Amino acid sequence: MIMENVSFKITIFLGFILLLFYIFPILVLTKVASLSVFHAIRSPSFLEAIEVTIIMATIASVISVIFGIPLGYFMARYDFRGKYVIDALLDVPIMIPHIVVGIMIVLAFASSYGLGPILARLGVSFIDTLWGAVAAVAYLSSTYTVRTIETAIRMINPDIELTARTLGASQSYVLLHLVIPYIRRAIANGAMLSWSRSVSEAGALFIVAYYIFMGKSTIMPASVYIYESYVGIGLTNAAMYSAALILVIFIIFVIYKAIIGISHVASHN
Amino acid sequence: MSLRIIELEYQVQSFRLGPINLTVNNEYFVLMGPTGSGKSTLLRLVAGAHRPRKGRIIINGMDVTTLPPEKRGVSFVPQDYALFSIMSVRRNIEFGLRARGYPRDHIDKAVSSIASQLGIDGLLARSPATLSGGERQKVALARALVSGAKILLLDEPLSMLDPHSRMEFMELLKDVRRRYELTIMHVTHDFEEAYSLADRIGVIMGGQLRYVGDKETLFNEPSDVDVASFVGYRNNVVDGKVLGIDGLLFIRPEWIELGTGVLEGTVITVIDSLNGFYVEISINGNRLVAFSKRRPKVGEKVNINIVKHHVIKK
Repeated sequence: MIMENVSFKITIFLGFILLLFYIFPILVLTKVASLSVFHAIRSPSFLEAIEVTIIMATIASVISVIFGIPLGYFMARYDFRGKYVIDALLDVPIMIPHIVVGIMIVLAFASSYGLGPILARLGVSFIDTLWGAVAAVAYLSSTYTVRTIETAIRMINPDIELTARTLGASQSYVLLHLVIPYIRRAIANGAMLSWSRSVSEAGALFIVAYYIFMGKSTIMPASVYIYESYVGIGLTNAAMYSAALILVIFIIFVIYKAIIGISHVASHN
Repeated sequence: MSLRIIELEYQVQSFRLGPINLTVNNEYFVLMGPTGSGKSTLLRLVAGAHRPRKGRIIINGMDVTTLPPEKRGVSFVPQDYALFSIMSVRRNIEFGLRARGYPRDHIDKAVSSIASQLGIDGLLARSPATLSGGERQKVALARALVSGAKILLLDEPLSMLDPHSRMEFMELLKDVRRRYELTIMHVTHDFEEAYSLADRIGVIMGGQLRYVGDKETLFNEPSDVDVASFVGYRNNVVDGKVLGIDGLLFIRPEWIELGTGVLEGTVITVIDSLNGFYVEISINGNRLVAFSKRRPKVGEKVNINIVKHHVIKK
């Protein structure tokens, strides 16, 4: 019994080592950056970078929800031969190096090998534009939304849908008025996961949108901005902006959790 | 209201259902079968959850085989009632009417009417999560009835209720069937429930309908060995040699009297029940279960008299 207790404590201790591994770099970063964080978030060019990053991630996240709900429903409810191929394809975006994703987006939407010429005729460019940036991060991040939604739909007993259908509701009515309300929390979580994945992206953006043309100015996404500061100025400068980015994202997450938490309590009353 | 199933076949992985032929006509039809026999699958085929491989489903003269569930004129009530937990009881009941775009005043009238008929007026503002098992049942029934469907498909609707609510709900189901002139197809594996509710009973085993007919015949003169073995684990299906008869005998425990008769046996086990004792007796290597008011001792030699038996056709 005592031996069991000791080995259990060692197991828990291993878990704490992982936790420490997460926290330690944040602590060092906070110490190095310390009060210069407030200098960073007063820098107009950095604020622009954060702004464009948030806009890009939000558009990608909305896209992932709009298209992810039907795809998640399809994956959860339909069985067919070769489904596992589609299942594996869905995971491809998160398995490959993101530089490769950037190259694929350029090839597919901005080169003569893909839709480049057609999009150019329509006046749409994917290189160094918000569209390109959104396409790159949506490609990487929407899988998270689809998977979260798919899992949530699998949790709904199919009998609920069959019952609703026999009461007189069409399949689309059931999806809109029953399934989506049932999984609204999963949709929010999926959207948030996808959003955070987009905000943290760097690799694909190096290829597709190192700068983003916004009106007359060019703005770097936050991750590229920090990279530039690291290679251009140095470690402590990059630390300052990194800490500022983490702070902003952390605040957004806390607000999100608070809203979700409030709706959770409300839905039980 | 009639439901006709013609040469219906369905396959999912290695399980094959059918061909099934069945007509259910303005009656309370109970479909029984062991777990995995295909009874729930058949119910879901009628509801429109799956597309059959072959055959047709005719409801009131109309072929609905390829129609979606919402156009079949049936209402499905699953085992757990599938109340929508994200909306109030009122919203649950009016769900089908809203989906079909009825005007607000029509919906309000229909909901209050059905709620008062089933005595659930007081529950309308509640959330399904706060209801008791019996209340849930009534809400599910109200929701099914208000949609106007005349054919109810019930999948083990009593299995999650306590004994008191079961009795109450059985009465309600019988009453509702009469009042709304419904055709009900009710799936269960409970004999008491089937016997108490059914006008006719069907037995499905291994994807095949093995019996369709009245309940007296099923419980007293089952048509074959499998059906006989299924209709009650304490019923006896024994070699006729016990009575010097050629063939298999079906003998219900209450058809065997203890203490009289020429047959002699030894008591092997005694099982207590609410009304008496099920006594397992060994007679020349055959085992028979008798029902007795008296509790014999295990190992005791007893005389038995088989008052009644049914010979199963081979």
